[in-house]
Amino acid sequence: MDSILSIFNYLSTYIVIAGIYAIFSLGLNIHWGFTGIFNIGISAFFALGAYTAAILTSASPSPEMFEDFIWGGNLPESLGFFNLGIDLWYFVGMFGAIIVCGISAAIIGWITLRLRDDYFAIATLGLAETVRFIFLNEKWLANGSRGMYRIPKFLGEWFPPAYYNYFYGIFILLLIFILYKIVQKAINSPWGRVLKAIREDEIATSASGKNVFLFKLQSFILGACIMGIGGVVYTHGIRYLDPLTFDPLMATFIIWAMLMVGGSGNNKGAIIGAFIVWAIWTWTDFLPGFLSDPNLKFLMIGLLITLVILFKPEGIIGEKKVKLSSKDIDKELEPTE
Amino acid sequence: MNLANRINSIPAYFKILLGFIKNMNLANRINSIPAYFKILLGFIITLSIAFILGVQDLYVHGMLIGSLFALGAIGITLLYAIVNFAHVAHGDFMTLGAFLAFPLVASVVDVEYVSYADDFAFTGLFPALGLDQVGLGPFTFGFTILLAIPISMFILAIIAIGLEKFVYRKLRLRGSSDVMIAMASFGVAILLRGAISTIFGTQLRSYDRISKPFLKIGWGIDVPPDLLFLGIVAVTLCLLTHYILQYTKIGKSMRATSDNPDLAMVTGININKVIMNTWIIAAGLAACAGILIAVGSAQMVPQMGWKLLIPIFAAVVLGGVGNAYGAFIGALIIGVAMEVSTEYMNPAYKLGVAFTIMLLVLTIKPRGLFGGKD
Repeated sequence: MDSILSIFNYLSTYIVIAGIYAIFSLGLNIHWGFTGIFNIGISAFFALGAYTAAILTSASPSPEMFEDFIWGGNLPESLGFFNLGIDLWYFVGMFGAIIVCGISAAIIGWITLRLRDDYFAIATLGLAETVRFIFLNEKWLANGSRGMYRIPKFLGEWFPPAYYNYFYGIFILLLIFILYKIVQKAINSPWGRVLKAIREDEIATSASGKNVFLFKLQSFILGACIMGIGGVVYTHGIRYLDPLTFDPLMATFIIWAMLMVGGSGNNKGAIIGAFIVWAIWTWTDFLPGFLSDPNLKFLMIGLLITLVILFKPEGIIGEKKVKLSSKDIDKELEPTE
Repeated sequence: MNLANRINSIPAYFKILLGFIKNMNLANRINSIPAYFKILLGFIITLSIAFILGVQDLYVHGMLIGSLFALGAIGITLLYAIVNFAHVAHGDFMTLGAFLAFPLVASVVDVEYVSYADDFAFTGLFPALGLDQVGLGPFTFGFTILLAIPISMFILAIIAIGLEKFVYRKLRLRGSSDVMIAMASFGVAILLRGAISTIFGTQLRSYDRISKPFLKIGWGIDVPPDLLFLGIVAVTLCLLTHYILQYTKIGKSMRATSDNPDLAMVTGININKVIMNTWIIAAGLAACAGILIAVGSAQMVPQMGWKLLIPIFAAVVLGGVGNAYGAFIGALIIGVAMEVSTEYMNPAYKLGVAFTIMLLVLTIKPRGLFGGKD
């Protein structure tokens, strides 16, 4: 009985973390899978989202707890009645994180998205490192390398700690479902079709009268906001943040591997890829000797990305080819009033 | 007091002067000043400003460190010019170069993954041959490091050729977009870094060294003798690259391919060979840069290359993408800016300074100071 319970506990933790990665993978899919913009600074938006939520919801800092930051929003207390007993502060924090991620994505995108794709990639890389350095060195902002460790639990009093991950896992799966529906809706709209057109041929798209830059910017902002949501979910799931969390390996590279393995350009693929790669990542811990060496896993992530690009660029589930029937084309051609 | 009267009352010599200034056409004149003169002028002006502000020490440091960055930046910019993609793995090429030299020159090489079973360490190649002298003259390192540089350059060039053959060329033949190829180099970057940290572990390492006093040049400038020497090595290699690009057949065919690949192909230039040569030069410079930086900073970790990517790309963008001379000057400017900034703010933000310069250049002058590809 005990062993079954421990397996369930293990699985719930697995779902929580893989689910968080699935959210990032979804966000990255908008960038790379649908628009073809090359973001290698996922950890920037991860960090911005996570820290925004942490700062907004943490209790005011106290010197007795060895905390150096000067302001914590303490939303669970300060919202008071407006939490309505269902911890609405969680969503207020999420909203704040979305705003911060969206604005920073807009600034970086505004500067670099007009230019070649690879400038943009380097700019995102620079943003990721800069954000990490700011959170590491500005102690007044987020407690520096000691990290934030008094982050409140979402609906913590409703569920006993032993079973909390079951609840949070289900909550994350629900959130993934909602985000999936939203992204799917956006991608299948005319707006999403323009993004795909940009990915396939930028010049042709701009020739047909679309402002490529603005569409890329919107796509970048949308993806960054979803990554911000991922950061928030991470913050309240793990309830400890320090700048080391946002090391490029665990916050950027692995997400790329997830998207590439699952299938870029397919939202289901992005989610499944996250669960598969995280399973490989954690379950190789049980292997003997140097096979469970974390550095070896690092190597495997790189190998995985390279091999997928070389031999199976569409991943496990490739993008669905959209087939237009003559009916659809007629509908498109109909004059609209 | 009408206007005509007023104009008449202006003295004649002043009118002549005004006309003269008008005829000078200042903007054109500035453009017609040769680039090297502008660079020299910029150097003198910034150096004087550095002296006035009392940061001449940091300025010289920055110049030397920038010359090390230049080795990496020239490689990236050449790859941009010929193969037309952002080689994201270049930083990890540099790390790999530094780590390839490690088992040659270190007196104790402990290999990480074997240490799971039991401690496994061996003596490096040169110390095993009895060449274990360190602290040559005023320097912290021994002359073996100079022997290791060409070996490491050679091995890295072979690795680069292998990657070109089995990864990048395949993608090009398949007609993948430039971004897809950059993406592949991103995968390669992670792969290389993972391989390095699997074999050598992630702890801080350095080549064998003995601490040596700084060299006092005067005017408040103290330089570690190492850095001075490394800067000279780096500049020599840059000059060698300049020679190859300008005066040899390899360089001429490279420049032709960069200007117009189709025309180059029609005139009988073997593009694949040109690309191979580019890889060899870029990888060789990267290996050397990695070793020099590891010696200069007296430490090496597997993630050092990934962090160097930001200043190096900033240098490339600042000099104009695809322009090797621009990359050299850009690297010097970035080096100086990063070092001088430590006087005024937290040294941890050095990378942020390089990043900010890059963003500024991209907003104001996306083609860089000296013009490059779009």
